[in-house]
Amino acid sequence: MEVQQFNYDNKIVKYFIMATLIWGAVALLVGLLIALQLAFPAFNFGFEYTTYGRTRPLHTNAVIFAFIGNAMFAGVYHSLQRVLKARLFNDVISKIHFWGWQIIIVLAALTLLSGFTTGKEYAELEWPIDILIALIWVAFGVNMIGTILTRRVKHIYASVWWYLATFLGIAVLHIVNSIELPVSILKSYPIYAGAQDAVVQWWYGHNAVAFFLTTPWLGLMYYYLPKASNRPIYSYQLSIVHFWTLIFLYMWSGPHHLLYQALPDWVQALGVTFSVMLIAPSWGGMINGLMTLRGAWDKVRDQAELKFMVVALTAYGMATFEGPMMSLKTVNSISHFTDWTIAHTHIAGMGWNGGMIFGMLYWLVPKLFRTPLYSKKLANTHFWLATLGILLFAIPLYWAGITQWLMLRQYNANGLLTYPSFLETTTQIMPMYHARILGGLLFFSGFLLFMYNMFKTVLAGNLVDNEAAEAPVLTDSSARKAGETFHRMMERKGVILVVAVLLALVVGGIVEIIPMMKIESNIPKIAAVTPYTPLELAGRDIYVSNGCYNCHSQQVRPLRWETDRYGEYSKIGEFVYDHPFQWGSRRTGPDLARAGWVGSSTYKTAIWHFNHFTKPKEINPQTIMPAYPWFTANTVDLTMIPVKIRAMQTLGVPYPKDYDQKAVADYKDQAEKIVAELKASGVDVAADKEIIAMIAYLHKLGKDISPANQK
Amino acid sequence: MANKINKTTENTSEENNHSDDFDGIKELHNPAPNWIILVFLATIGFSLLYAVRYFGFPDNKKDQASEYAQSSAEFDKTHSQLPQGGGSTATVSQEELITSGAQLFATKGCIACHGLKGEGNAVGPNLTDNFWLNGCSQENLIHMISEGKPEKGMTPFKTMLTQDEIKSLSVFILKKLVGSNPPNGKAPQGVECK
Ligand code: HEC
Ligand code: HEM
Repeated sequence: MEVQQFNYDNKIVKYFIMATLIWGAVALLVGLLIALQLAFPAFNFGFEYTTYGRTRPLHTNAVIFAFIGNAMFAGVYHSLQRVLKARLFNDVISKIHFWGWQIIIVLAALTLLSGFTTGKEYAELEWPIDILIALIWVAFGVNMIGTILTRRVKHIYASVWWYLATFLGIAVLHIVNSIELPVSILKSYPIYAGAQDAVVQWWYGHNAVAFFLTTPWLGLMYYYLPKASNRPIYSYQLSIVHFWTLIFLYMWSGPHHLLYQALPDWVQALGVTFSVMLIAPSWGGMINGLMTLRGAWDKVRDQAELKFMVVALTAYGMATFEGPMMSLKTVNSISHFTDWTIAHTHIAGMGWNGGMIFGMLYWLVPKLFRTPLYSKKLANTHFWLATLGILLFAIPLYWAGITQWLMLRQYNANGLLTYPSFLETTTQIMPMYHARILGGLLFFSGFLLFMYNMFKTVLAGNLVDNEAAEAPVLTDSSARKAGETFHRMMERKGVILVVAVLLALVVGGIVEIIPMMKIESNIPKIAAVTPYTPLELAGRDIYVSNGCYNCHSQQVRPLRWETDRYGEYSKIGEFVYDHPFQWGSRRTGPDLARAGWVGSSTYKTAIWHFNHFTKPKEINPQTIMPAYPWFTANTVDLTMIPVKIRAMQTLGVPYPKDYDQKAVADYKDQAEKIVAELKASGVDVAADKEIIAMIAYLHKLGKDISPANQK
Repeated sequence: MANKINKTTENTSEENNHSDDFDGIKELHNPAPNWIILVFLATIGFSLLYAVRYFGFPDNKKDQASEYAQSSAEFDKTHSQLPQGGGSTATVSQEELITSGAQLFATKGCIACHGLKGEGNAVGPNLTDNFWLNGCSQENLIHMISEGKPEKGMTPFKTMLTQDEIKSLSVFILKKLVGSNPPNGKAPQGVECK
């Protein structure tokens, strides 16, 4: 049999590792910043660019796409070549992939801080960057599939199935969720509205978790764990079953982010049941990983990389049990909108993804640079700092979540809410926010040790950019052999495998999304609900741009303690003109769905809003809301108004014909009324300032269905 | 089925029947543990039951709106029998009413709109002068605090404070704030009360 000589590309792996280290530090640092901002609002620094509403998405995007993303590419590109015995398909594509991804990250940081955002969680980046992401992602896919097709190993190893699911899953999710109508170079509106937008967004959002934070990492686990422990994978059968069930079931479970919200009951039920069915497929991965370590536990004791992987698998097991529990409506009514969710995400992110990244790199970097790890002792210290950090982070937040929920739903003997002021509950959990900062600091200091250890190791070693390897040429007859299972055959046939994975992925999305778009009874209309006026629309854009949804929900759930606090619960028909929907996922401040309902506890006059935006501390000394004094200075660009109106018309919002030509005049009329109201209270602001539009928008929330509006 | 695999492959050491070299990684052919299969079947069973419970019967009231209506009706039934306050204040001295009123004034959000000392600010009127927009009797005040005047910016407090608490606030305002003449008082609004 002819043996071929070839090289592994190690240089690209090195690049991605370096990027992981650098962006990791940045992402965690921004995390620390936002933890400080919640406890001490002074850390908003008084700049538009550094307020929490903009820094929080920066943190989530940096952690997921910059830190975890680069680590994933490093791990995939290293292992893919080796299990397929082939050099990466194309060096130029590899370079484009690397530099393209870094450019995306820099653009993301700049645009998010400057307030260019779509307002959809984990999909905040605006349309030009979305297009760039799609292109770079396809480059990654071409490189991967190209390598598969030029491999020298007959069967495709389990890790690669997971990598394929990652590529295909994210490609489908990203493209469908990012279909938006541009109105300028950095502003667009999603084509979906309200409940439809919510379903698409959380189908994407949950599966970004699945196909960016879970599937690639399971694939990496299937390579790095047996390599680092030198043990065989426990069960090939389990690999198969949990792979197919997991990728199939995940795509259905997005609606568990929208329980008790303005969504048809059948969609919610799909979210609940498919999430519960995910327990076993998820645990399959944990079991296969931990059982692989059978007989190697002595190694775990003295290899930091294995310790991290064990923590990772444990955290994964916890998160994937907790997640399905949080998908039960009763439990979700507690965890949703509170810090419970934040604790869950950090067990998963810091424990599972963090653990896998650290574990993988402690093993890979010495290997790649052909030198022992600079310091085992530092690695062990890192391990303890990270583990303690996670606990000190998560436990206080579970506590905070439950405490706040208990307070929010507590009634006194007279049947009145005991804590009618939302702020009282925030003040109560403040000590937990302080503890969380400490947990974050521990985790971050561990990360610094890790970085130091890595750089020292890299400097001491030397990397062979192109590592020589050899393998026999692959000769494969395509026919199914006697006794060969179908799956076994598919493992030989890259193209069939790709198609099968794609099919497994798309079913869930199709069943949930198409009926939401096409069947009218899913979106019961409310006659009183009217489109946003031009001024309100401008205000809404400011709300999105400042990321208010990071702290405020716009969704009253049909729970008595919510309706007593905020008013009438939210209905599907209220949101039909909301491009994008702004329901939010965490209530750091009170819900705003009824801010325009005269007589509700959140309705406030123009002058109150003016004072609150400029000097929130004077209204409530304990508030943690940042001040937005620039709202009174920044001017709305009125030339954009007709463009935005036309865009909304294109999306189906029923403004009268040629309304774009009247819109600016209407804008000014409505603005002047608010200006006059403020003047009567002794405040002078010009009609074209942001604050006027913002007040108008807040006064629209819930107004249409309020009694005052019916008169 | 599980048994068959058990027999042929359980603990067949590191061997597998795959000839591929996955960079030295071997795969054993142990079956998936039975308990995890059972968990999987149980969750599928749960999901079927869940679907039947919610959607299996034509007119069961399991949808979110009916669920809310039912639980809300129950809430109203249990709470309508509870004391709504009143009556009990007879035994409380005026001093005590003023003390509790002062505390409520400071903690329930009044200061946000009426100032720390009731002197008024850009949002709400001065409560320390004897000029009133909505009448100066204790009944007027109680009504004002209870029902509010949302369109003018005064929050209705009847869903947040008990009648007793509202009463003590009114006593505090009339007996303690009025005439206290704090610095930076907002200019009088409304009509003077004689
Ligand atoms: C969101 C701002 C706000 C809050 C909070 C608030 N008020 Fe007011 N209050 C107002 C405004 C504005 C008015 C004037 C209404 C009008 O124009 O008639 C007012 C009027 C009043 C009046 C009648 C004054 C008059 O001249 O007739 C009383 C009494 C009063 N408030 C008491 C309270 C008490 C007690 C609290 C706390 C439990 C409170 N307010 C909380 C804004 C507020
Ligand atoms: C079976 C697996 C899982 C299920 C069913 C699940 C379920 C859930 C639920 C119900 C929420 C809260 C939604 C809400 O109320 O807003 C949530 C949030 C979240 N989960 Fe999981 N989870 C699982 C595993 C994971 C894993 C493995 C990760 C990360 C690697 C993860 C990351 C997150 C993140 C980042 C959020 C926050 C989303 C938000 O902003 O609301 N989850 N998950």
